[in-house]
Amino acid sequence: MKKFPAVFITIAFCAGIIWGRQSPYCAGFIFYLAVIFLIFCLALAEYRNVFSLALMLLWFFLGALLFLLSPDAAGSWLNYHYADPSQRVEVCGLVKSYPQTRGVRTIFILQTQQLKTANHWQPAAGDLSAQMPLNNDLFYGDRVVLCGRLSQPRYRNSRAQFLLRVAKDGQIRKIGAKAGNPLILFCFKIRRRLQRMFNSSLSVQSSAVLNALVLGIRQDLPISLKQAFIRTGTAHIIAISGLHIGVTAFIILLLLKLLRIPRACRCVAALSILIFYAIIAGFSIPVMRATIMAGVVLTGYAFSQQTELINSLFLCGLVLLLLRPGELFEAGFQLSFASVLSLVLLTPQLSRLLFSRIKTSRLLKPVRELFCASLSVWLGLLPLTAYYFRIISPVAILANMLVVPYMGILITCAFVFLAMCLLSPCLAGIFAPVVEAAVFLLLKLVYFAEKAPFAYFRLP
Amino acid sequence: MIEMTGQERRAALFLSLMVIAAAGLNLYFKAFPRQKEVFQIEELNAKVNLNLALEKELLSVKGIGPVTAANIIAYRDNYGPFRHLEELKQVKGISEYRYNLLKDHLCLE
Repeated sequence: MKKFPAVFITIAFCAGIIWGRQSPYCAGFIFYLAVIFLIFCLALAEYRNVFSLALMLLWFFLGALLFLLSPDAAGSWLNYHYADPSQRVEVCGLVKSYPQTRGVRTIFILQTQQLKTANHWQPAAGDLSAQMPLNNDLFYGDRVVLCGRLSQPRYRNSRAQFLLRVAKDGQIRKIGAKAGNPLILFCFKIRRRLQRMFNSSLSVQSSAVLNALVLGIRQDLPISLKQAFIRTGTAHIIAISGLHIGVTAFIILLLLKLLRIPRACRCVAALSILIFYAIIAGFSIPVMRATIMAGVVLTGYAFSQQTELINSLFLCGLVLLLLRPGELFEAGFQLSFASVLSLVLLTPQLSRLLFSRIKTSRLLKPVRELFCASLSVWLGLLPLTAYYFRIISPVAILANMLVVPYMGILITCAFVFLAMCLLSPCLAGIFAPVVEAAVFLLLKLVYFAEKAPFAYFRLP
Repeated sequence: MIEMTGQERRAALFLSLMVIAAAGLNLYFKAFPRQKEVFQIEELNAKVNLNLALEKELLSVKGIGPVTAANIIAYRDNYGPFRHLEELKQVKGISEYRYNLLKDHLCLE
């Protein structure tokens, strides 16, 4: 562990974020402390032990400082205007996320720019989660004026500090368009086009599943199916994460290798495509984590250097927390990192513990490794799933052994289908039954696992 | 305590310096915020922007019903934004007479 400096720095940073949440000190005071420790580090660079201690304390105070400066801290800018939740407010802002439909409502993140109070507009800042009656006309980058009621969301969300509910008769006006990041706008347009391709060529259920698996759009998934995924511990496959990024990276590298492209160019091309895919898939925390890790591994591969997985994982965590310190307290962040950490740390130990005295044939070795990997992730995530979802799924160990390898086949089918849709609708029509059959098999596996005896237990 | 090579130490110090500098700037701009320009938003009884209006706003214009509003949006989706107001006559259901009734309530900017 001593050889993994990123681990210590990240742990110190996380401890600083946790302390910063409760700290009575202001950001200015902590800033000065951080500067003092930076000076110590510069002055004591030659003394290894003292330098290490000073560096860890520096990053501890940096964690607290960045948390206090982030929108997650108590003094969010919108707080200054949030006086009476029963009053209607008019908010002008930018649609910052891909609008999603949930039932009869459209939901998106609104980046506030102005707020109307007492009949005049004044500047405001902060992100809102806007919920309004179904509206398919709004898109990322649109500047809108909404009239509704502000409230605190029931569940903590690091992306939005407030909830704005627009009633059926509420005012919704679009006063500008294409005001967001051009790259994100381009990627979201591709996302919308791919979603329409799935919806027009496949059955309702298959398109809903593939939209979730490939594009991260889960709005159309039936509740019974979502619950089946949660109960069988396979909900991670409908949240785009390392598995999807890994399969995508593998497909891209294989195709580029077949085209005899040199290694360094292959890695650069693969990373560029992965970044595009990450934005198309919604750029959530698991996707960002997986993309950064893929970037580190590909860079090492390009220079023929071996990368230390644990160091890379903690470095990813540090990068993500530097951008959004409040993510440390989010379930998605914790589950994403805990799963990879348990996979890396526990799998070799379990393999040694369970199978060191048992000789397995070459054919059964992959099954053995898969079992150890599934068990290690299950054990690593058990406390978190019990806490957040109040559920324990023993069937998840076996279900993931079947579903995770199958995901590689399903994602490949989905990408081939999309390529055919782009080239020729006729080809897509021929290949559609194959995709339908692949999705049908996945759903059969999941529903079968859900109905198994002692598949899951609900906690009180 | 932590084993770091000289290069790793320099990288860690450089990263720390960048983060402190960014945090310092953030703190400065929060303490002394720039006066943000507040842009004026026209009230509802002003002209409706033909290229940006949602269906609900189009329906607020006297003379545009649900079918006409849907035709306008469909025209916009198929052919792109209106370049001049007279292009509205190309929309299905909008005659010369109807255009003369609507033109004073619509704008393009």
